Amino acid sequence: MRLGRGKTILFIIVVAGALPLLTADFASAQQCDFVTGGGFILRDSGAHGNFGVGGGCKSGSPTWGHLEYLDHGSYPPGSTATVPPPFHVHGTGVTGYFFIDPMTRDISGTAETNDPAHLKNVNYCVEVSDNDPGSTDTFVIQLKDQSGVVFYTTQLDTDHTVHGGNIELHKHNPSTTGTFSSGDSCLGGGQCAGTDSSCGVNGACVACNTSANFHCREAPFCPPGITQCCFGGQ
Amino acid sequence: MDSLTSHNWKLLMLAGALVSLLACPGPSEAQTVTGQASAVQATVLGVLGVGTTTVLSDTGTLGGTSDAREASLVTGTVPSLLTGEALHATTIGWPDQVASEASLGSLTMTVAGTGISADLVMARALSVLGSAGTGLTNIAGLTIGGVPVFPTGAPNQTLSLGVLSVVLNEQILSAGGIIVNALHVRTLDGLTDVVIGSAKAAITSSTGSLPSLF
Repeated sequence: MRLGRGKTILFIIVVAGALPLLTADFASAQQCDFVTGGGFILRDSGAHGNFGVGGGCKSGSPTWGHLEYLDHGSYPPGSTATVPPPFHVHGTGVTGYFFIDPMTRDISGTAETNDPAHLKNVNYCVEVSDNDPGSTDTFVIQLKDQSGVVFYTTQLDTDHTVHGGNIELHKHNPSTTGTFSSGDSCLGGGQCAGTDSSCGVNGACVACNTSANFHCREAPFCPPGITQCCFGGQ
Repeated sequence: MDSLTSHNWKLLMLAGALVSLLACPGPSEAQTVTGQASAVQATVLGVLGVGTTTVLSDTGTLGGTSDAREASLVTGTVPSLLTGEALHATTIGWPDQVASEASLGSLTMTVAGTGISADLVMARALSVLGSAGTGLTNIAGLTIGGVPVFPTGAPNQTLSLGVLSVVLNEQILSAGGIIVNALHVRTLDGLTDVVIGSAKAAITSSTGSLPSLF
């Protein structure tokens, strides 16, 4: 059956009009973008963790951004620092930018600190979420030494809320020709396989729902006694 | 089963091309963007009237609609005036908008003998082609002279405190853009002028802004 001329023209206009929308939605989930933010978190000790952060892809690689972080509560465990906090972390380069879910990005990079035990050659991972309006933005930072051992993290804190300031997720621009970093997250763990029954929401032993952007985390970033757990989800 | 004839496919391609042309800025439509952000701008006049301006964590000027600039410092100091932490500034351009932001934590400042402190100061500016610029300011834990001050959130909240003029969430509109100064402190004698958290964003089109289809 053929469409009449009028219906055909209407069909063409509707389909042609919808194509850019569909294409834009698909592309926005694939193309690299930017995230920026500043503010402070409250550590479990009550101390402020001041931060300024940026991440994104520019000119073909996920190397855009920066990190500044100061913990007014304490140095990492085992520190030999002889001066009082704050513990300083200064990013020296961005090495990765990860899509975690539509509102969450991970940024990895290199850093130096004022902790005598970790002055140089520190690798950082920051996870930020732009959840406002409607919910609160979040900030998590983790530091590893050259051997890949985590020596500082706010992941285990009870509150990751950005209490002052803001996290802002920005769309890609013409310079973001690169792609997100491969892999799941720089915080540890890998993408759950659909058959991975050891990943459970809040420790429950169920398959991790990869379609909803859950991700597998490993101890010590899971509830006590749980070696792997799901995190995230839409 | 419905089908489209060859003639209809040509119409489909023609309509698609027309929609794409209307939806996207064409090569003849040139956007002029302005973007810059800095955590601190401080100008102090000396006894001979010679001014010294210190800018901390400054992105510099946005280079175009494909540019993205950033600057940061773990700590910043203007001697005898202020200190701050986690200084951060970004400005990003797009063919249809510019977004800039700047922030600073643990601000401690003394201007004309008055102590000013804040846990966090942040300015954000957004300019979208064809729309008025918008600004947002976050200020947490602000005290002036030891007295807590609670920002209303309204643009250009002005406090007159003896020899000081303090403006919170200062917003200066211009053609196609906005400058947002989160905390602007001046002495009435004009000797000291300090802006904490400044974000500028503007975008204009040489052919005017086209109505967006989507």
